[in-house]
Amino acid sequence: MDFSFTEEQEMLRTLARDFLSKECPKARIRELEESDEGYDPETWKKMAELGWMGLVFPEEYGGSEGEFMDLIVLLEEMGYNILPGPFFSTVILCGLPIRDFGTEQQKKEFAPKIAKGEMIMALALTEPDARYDVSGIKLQAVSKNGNYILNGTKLFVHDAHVANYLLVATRTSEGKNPEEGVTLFLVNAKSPGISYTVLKTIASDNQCEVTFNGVKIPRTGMLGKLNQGWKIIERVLERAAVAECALMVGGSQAVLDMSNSYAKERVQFGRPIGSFQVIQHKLVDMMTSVDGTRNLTYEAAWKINGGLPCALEASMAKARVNEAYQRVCIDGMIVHATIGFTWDHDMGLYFRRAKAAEIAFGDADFHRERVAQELGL
Amino acid sequence: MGIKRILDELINYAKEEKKDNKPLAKDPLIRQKLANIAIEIEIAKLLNYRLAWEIDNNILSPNTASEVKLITDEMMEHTAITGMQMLGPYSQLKQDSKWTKLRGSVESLYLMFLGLRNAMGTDEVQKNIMAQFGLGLPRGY
Repeated sequence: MDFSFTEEQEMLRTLARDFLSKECPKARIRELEESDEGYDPETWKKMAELGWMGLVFPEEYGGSEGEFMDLIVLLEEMGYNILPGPFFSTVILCGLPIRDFGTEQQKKEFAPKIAKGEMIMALALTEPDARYDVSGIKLQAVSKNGNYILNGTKLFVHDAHVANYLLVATRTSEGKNPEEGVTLFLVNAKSPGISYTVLKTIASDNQCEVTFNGVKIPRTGMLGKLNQGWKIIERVLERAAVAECALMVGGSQAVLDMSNSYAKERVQFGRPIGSFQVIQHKLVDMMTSVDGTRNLTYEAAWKINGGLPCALEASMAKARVNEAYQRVCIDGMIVHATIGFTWDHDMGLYFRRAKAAEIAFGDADFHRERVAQELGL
Repeated sequence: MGIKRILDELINYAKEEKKDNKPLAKDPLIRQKLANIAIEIEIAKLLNYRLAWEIDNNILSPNTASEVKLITDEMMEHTAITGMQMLGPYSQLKQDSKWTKLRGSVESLYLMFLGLRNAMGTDEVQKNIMAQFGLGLPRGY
């Protein structure tokens, strides 16, 4: 087992950390939380120039043939800096399935534009009953004169309000097996009949309600085969869970670093609070959580990288990271005491995001149940 | 990895044993608890591998060594407590009882984990070492 990264990955990590700390200071993040777009188009453009959006696409589509593990390195740094924006939606949730399941025409149409930063995408998956299983897909797509007509509501759709295209999971058949009735469509986000409302959320992370009212989609907009979309979604969710873990591990590390620095600077009773064992042990618990969950995340990512089944490892990672990130934030707040609780302190930015990340792609109970299934229970 | 064997035995036990005419394995609480143990074992395993990799690569890391000890201690404690809860009244039986379950392995672990936790440095000693070497904090003792 090799715990090292390639030289290129180490370079990517250093570059990403430098770029994001300069490009995305916390004051800017606070401004973006209040903005309509929720991300910085200038930063987005620079990220495209650095080749991040095309990282995992083949060269022929404007990419650099990178691996999933490269994305993990990048996401960890994005999580460390809590970069706002539609990178995750565009690349992980939509770009990867287009690369893996798209027709030649679809790959040619979407991948180069994503790589250049000219295409923002959003995955419209969950609905008002907020489930990540197949029974949650109810939005109707009905075939009519060679087109499909979409009616229904999607909820908690990240970045839909700025997207050029949506990847929409629809119900096209009500057969005995609900898995054999889901179809995916690539939908122009500005199509007549689509409306958006940005939801006010704990992390100000631009989740939307998207309503489809008689939206007409040509048959060529189908990604994958008719009624066979759930297999694609399962794969997207597995990768998304692991990718989200990378963001969360990065965020946990940032909270640990912040808290550790503070414990060295803050003096009480004539000595830094970091010299008290009660604070030290709290920080050590945080470090142990971060290290343990980082290894779990890497293990799942290695399996994806190698094309191996990873349902067990992905769910182990997401189940544990969900709780660890929250715990690290709470302990970090305790180390900071009152100053950490103030709205102006950066701790709150992480604490709020930890909650949103915990919910995304399955909470801890959901993933522990998956682990139980994988254990044969 | 003796603990992995106990986990496997507990999984089989959960499939075979019934409570209120339903296999224990169908109980959502048992499923969550066993999943948790499996995750903790995986974390301990990976950290053990990491320590071995660091040693192979001549990386002197008292922090990782203490971290492995700490995580393994906690994982053993949680496995022992969960295992005893699952076995219920049978958990108290000694190995040589004709009624004992899983060869008395869970009861043995339950009696042993505190001793192993203290051996080679308690959790608190490990945390002191990690604070110093892993986080660069001043000596707190």
